[in-house]
Amino acid sequence: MEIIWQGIKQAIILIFTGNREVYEILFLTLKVSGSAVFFSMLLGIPVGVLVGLNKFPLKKFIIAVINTGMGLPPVAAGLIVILFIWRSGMLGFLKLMYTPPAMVIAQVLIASPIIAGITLAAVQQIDPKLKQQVLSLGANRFQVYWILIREARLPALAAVMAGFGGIISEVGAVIMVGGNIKGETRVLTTAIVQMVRMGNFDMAIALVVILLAITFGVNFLLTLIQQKEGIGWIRRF
Amino acid sequence: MDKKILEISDLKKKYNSKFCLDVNNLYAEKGKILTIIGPNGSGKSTLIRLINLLERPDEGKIYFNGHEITNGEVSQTEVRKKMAVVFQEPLLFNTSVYTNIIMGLTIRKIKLPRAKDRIDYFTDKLKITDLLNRSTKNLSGGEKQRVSLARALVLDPELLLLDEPLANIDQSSRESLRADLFGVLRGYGKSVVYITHDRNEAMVLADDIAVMDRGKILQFARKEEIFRKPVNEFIARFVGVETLVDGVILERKGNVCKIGLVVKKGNIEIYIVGQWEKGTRVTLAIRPEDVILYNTEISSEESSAMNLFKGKITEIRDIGIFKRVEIDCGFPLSSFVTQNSVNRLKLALGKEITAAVKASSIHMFKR
Amino acid sequence: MSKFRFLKIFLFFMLSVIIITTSVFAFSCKKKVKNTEIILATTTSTYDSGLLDELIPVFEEETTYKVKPIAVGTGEAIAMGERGEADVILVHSREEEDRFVEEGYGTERRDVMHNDFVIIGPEDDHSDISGLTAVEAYITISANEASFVSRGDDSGTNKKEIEIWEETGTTPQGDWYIESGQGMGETLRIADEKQAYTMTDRGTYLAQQNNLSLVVLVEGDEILFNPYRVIPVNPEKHKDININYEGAQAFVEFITGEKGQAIIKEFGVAEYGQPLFYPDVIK
Repeated sequence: MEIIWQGIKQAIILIFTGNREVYEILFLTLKVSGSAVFFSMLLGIPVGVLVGLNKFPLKKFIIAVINTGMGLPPVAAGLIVILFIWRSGMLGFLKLMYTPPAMVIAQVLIASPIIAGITLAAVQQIDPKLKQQVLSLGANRFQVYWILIREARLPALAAVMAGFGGIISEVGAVIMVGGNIKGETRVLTTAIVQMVRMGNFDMAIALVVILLAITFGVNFLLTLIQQKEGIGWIRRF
Repeated sequence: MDKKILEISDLKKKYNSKFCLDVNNLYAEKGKILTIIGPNGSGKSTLIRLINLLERPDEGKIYFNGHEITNGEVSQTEVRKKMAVVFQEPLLFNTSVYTNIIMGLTIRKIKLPRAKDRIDYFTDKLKITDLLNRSTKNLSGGEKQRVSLARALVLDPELLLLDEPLANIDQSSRESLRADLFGVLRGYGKSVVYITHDRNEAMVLADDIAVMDRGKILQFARKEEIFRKPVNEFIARFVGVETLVDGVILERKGNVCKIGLVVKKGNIEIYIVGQWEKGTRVTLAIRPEDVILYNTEISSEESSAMNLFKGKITEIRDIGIFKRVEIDCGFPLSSFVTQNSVNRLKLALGKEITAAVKASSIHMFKR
Repeated sequence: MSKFRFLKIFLFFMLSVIIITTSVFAFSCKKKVKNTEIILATTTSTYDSGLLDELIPVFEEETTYKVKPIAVGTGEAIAMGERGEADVILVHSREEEDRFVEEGYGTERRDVMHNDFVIIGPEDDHSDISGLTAVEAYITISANEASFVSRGDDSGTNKKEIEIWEETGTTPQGDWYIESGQGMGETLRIADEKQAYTMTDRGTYLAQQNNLSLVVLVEGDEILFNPYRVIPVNPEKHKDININYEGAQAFVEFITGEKGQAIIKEFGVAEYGQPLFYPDVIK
């Protein structure tokens, strides 16, 4: 018990005295997972909406692929990315191995199926008659998608947050493609692994506290939204 | 300038496993209200979706303002932008009432200041001005449909399509919504296609009526003609004829036919204005409001009516402003009378009474 | 017809997003194309001790190179070198190193430093191995079936452990023989929890000592000598891959040179009262 209290005390000191390493790791984590979730949104939401709202050949197949992707083990995502970006791989010339962009790619691979899958389920929940209503108001194809995305904005937002929560707390893929290089590709989760390995428990606990705070914040917001069906600013959007 | 805003010819569309929509000829005139009336499952909503190009017909053509819109050459979106549809369910978006009302305007890129007068007018007429900032989540069914109606009306469409807008509203709010909606439509002056299964709505609103059943138009005519001269028993019943009896034309003198009724006991003869041949088997339709009652004990005034029936009152029922009186005069006959008349004529169950019907107000159609 | 048109649009959309994303990344990495990056595959023991955190900044300051240390087991580090995924490797497994260079994957072997392995165990030392040689200690542990935690991860430490087992002529197996499959730090913790015996490099043990109740029981045996060597990867073996051979050589020169050796010599003295590694070139 002693070590835990000691650790937490140290953690608080590290956080509030603005320990440079802690904040470097925090900002890199937010940068990597933030841009990963941004690209995943760009990819996942349109895919979810397009697949959910249209009938076309292979639709069931594509849905099955997305659902498989939702359960893709992070290490599998990491391995897939590695096979492409390592020096002898197809994209080796881009020199992405052990860089933050590589981590972003791996996280996109993890998060975009989650976002696409939840968005897809959400737009399929929308009354198909509502699509007819939008059409009969004179909407073109693009407007139909846009309006129906807005209609599914709460689940879509939940999807984005689920994706973010998934990748920010993931360790397997980022350590594979990022290499856990100090100051460069070391994010919260891999730093925690490293600190524990090095016996640096104060730091590890500080980082865990930060990670928990972030994931709790995300989940708290998510719960708020799901329970209240939209706090003010979301409704106005 | 063509008077017809919408014209449908030889339209065919299979709309469920049993029935196929088959509309040979139907049109809506500019500035008039066409009411399509028929029971559930008769294909009315399918017809609306075909007109709005939400579905493709299997065969046939639809003309809008004289131009064919079903040939795939015109943009569906452009055609829809000239119409507006209100569906049975309100189908609102999960935002504020105001955002819903201007949704169509936004989609059609109509500048809001240009539509401001219409927004104010229709929200006022539909009594939703106070709701504008509310979320649609917490509205009642009636309020939702008011929003949906306003959303369509502010678009100022060339053709307004209303698909049973009152059908899904609960009884308590339906009456007031009906009054407000009809108030709007009465002074509207634009072309409307109104779909309903309620003949009273059709009776109040329509200029023209098309009666549909099982995908087919059974009769399409001016309102008066439909109510006066239904072409068959289905329409007669549908437009509210209470008394329908079968008979055979016994003889014809000029414009007047003498008809023998097919009844269980005795011979009853009725005179009707009509020009069919002797021996034609027909069904007679007698509207209750055309049946006049006399109490011969009180007065023995002569009637100009050619048909007088004696019978006993079997039932007196309250139907709003009228009483409906059932008389057994060899065949069941209904009459609408006022409470005042009930008192004056001392009408009561079992009472002997004389019923008079003019030959010109009975309608007959071939069996 | 129109159904397939939609599928085409859909696929086109997916492709364009992927291409845009990739090119954005490619562009953002463009500035690094000048070959200043060195990937150093090394063992967890050098990395977890914190030595590289001292060495690399100094090297980067002296040269224009940028070092990316990837901490893996010796086995994997050598495999990375064979695949051309690393430019230079810093490992501790003589036999593997020799094979690596003989097969042409590495151009030269250079001694860098050494420390030693120690066999540690619970304070009460219930199997009584204290003061024995490594081989004797292993035989005793095996005979008593006393709990022993092995790395089991093909790392340098693991290879050394297997080498000693081979010397004993017995194959360790049974419930008492635990393979952690993890790095040295985790393995130490597992051994501590189970109050088991294990073998570790001294550096990692010293770094973790405060969190452990295990004590050193066997040390100083010749077989426990643990030399680290640095090997630049042979660019001739991977002509299609851009191996940073110049950078690798610069790193080799640095770590075996005056400054590198001095850092190694000083490292850990302040904190543990003794160095974690002993430089082999400039002592």
